Amino acid sequence: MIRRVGLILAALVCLVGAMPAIGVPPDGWTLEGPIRHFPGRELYGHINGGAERFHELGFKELHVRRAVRGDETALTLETYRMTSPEAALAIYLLQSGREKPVAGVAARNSGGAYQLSAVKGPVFLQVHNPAGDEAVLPAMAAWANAALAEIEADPPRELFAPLPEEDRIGGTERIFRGPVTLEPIYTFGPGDILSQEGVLFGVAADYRADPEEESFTRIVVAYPDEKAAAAAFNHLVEHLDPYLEVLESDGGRILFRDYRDRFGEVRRDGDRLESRIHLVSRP
Amino acid sequence: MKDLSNEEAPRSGALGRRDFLKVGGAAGAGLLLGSPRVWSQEQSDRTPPEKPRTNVDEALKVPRTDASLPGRYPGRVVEIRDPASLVEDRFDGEVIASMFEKGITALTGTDLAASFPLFFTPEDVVGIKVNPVGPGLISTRLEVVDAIVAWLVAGGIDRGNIVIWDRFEAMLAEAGFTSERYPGLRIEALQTMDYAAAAGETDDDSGWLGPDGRHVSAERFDPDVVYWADVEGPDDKAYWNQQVFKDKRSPFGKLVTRRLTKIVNVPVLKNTGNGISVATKNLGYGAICNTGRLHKPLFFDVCTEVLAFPCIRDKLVLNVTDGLRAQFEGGPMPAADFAYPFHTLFFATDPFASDRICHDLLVEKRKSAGIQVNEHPMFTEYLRYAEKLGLGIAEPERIEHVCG
Repeated sequence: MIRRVGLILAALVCLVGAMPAIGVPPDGWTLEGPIRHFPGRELYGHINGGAERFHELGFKELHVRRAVRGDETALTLETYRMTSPEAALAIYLLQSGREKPVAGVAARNSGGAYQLSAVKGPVFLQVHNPAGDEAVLPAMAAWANAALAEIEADPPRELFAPLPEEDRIGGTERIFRGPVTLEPIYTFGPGDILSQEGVLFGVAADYRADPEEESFTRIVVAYPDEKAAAAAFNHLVEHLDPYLEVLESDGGRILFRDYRDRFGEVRRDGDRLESRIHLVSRP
Repeated sequence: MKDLSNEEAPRSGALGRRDFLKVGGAAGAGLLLGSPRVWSQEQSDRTPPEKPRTNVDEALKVPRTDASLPGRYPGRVVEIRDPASLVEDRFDGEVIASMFEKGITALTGTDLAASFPLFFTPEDVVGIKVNPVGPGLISTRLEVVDAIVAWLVAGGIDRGNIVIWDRFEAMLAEAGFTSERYPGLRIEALQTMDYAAAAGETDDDSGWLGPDGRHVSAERFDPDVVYWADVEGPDDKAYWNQQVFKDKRSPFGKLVTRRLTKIVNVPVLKNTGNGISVATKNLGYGAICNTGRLHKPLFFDVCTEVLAFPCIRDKLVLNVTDGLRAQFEGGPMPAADFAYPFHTLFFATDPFASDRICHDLLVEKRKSAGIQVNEHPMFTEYLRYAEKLGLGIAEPERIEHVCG
């Protein structure tokens, strides 16, 4: 009996999870047109570039809704349901950069009068206001809140734990899951050079001990076990970008100089690969 | 519906799109380390294949003309900045028109009227290629186009011989490029697509698929002028609806090959990942169709190779890059957090020199914003490639960067 109830509940959760979070626009705004739905690969039918990064991180579906006001001002709400809260957080961080939270939005958010981004559970959402009228910002926040209320609370796991907190520059944390989302951070080599296979999340952040110093970046990927980490390290060494000049290499560490005359190293530590790049001095 | 042609992000992993979804589903269960089964399945396919072959050599065989890229002023890039052009989110058309005049004058060394015959004759049919992505936030400003149109008309070109164009028709209207706003001018897109079908709102394909089994926009592309690359698009309707063709051919629009005699390129200053999506990408991915297949294996090379075809190489006379409001991160999607007033227009006949300047500016902007930038040379290799092909100047020390 308990099992049966559990199955029914699970089914309900699945159903609720599949419902588009569209909310009700605030007073004075009217929904216009149908909900546009872009599942899976059909994201390419809507998105203004960057679809690959959604897919690499884990994308399920997008719902798009438009609301208008009497003066023909229009808002668009886009809710991207990702495959996990971690994937949603990853795309939020990619799109938001240094966060500028809007007061009154009931979730982690960033934005302004043109665009408001928020993340909750497995959903990343954006409210667009092409006119950029500051006076419309409260309406954008209200519609975002209405949609956020329909999204299940499911916080992401703590992915940044492998990155030391000391000297970390706040707001520089990034999550990547393959070559597309690693590319903004660094180029170690072609293709899936860190052997993430679109499954393993990696994390990165910038560090600086002294405000006068140049920052450097730490990158960590954790693998299923030491053997997988060793295989990934070997793959990296074998396919290292030709623009990186190898200075030292052994079974578990490689040190190189890059095209900007900065140093970098990748070290295997148990089931992880830990990298430091953009180093001014040779470690 | 937004442009998918010249705005898709570069590259992808070794997994195909369907595989991404399949794997993403497994990962969605919350495995930081992933599913070992899926992980091991894909172990053998991590390094991307060699770049596919293209037919750029056919384009290069066509003899150059006096009008061929890099045009009248190789390597010369004029940058005009005026803080009054954008104040408190309002664009000032008069200031922008003045910036335009200064820019052309600085580029040519003579005034607007005397500059006109350096590029056009009154008989020309001039296409103004805009980039209407991200309306309101990050798209070609109407005020810049106004200044160009005024110059062309003053030079004697009939309004009916001026065409404001882009690849997708819906985006033009969204960005304000309408017949009402530009009476007498032609507003044209290379293709249509059925947005309802693309959004899954209908199973009726008649909005984009003709009774002859071809895309309804297929006729608008020139079967005799084709950028060919040895990679096929996915064999599905969503792609076909959006891209018109799905084989190895990317025909140029007939507008470009047969009707326009001159092109003025008016892109927006913005990034795409670590690279930029400005002058060469606006045409490289905007003058042909069936481009979705090209992003992953060829990406920036397309920006060079498409511009090597005579229908672009010999007609593109001027690039006016709209940097009044620019975007340094988050692109190619419009991202308000990274859009900023830059109050600048760039002028060049050489789109590769212009892109080189714009690339370096955006890199510096990103650094100043505290963003750690991937400065790998691969993000500018397409510019050096263009220089090898004689299409432009890419090396910064050979570029004459004039600031006004």
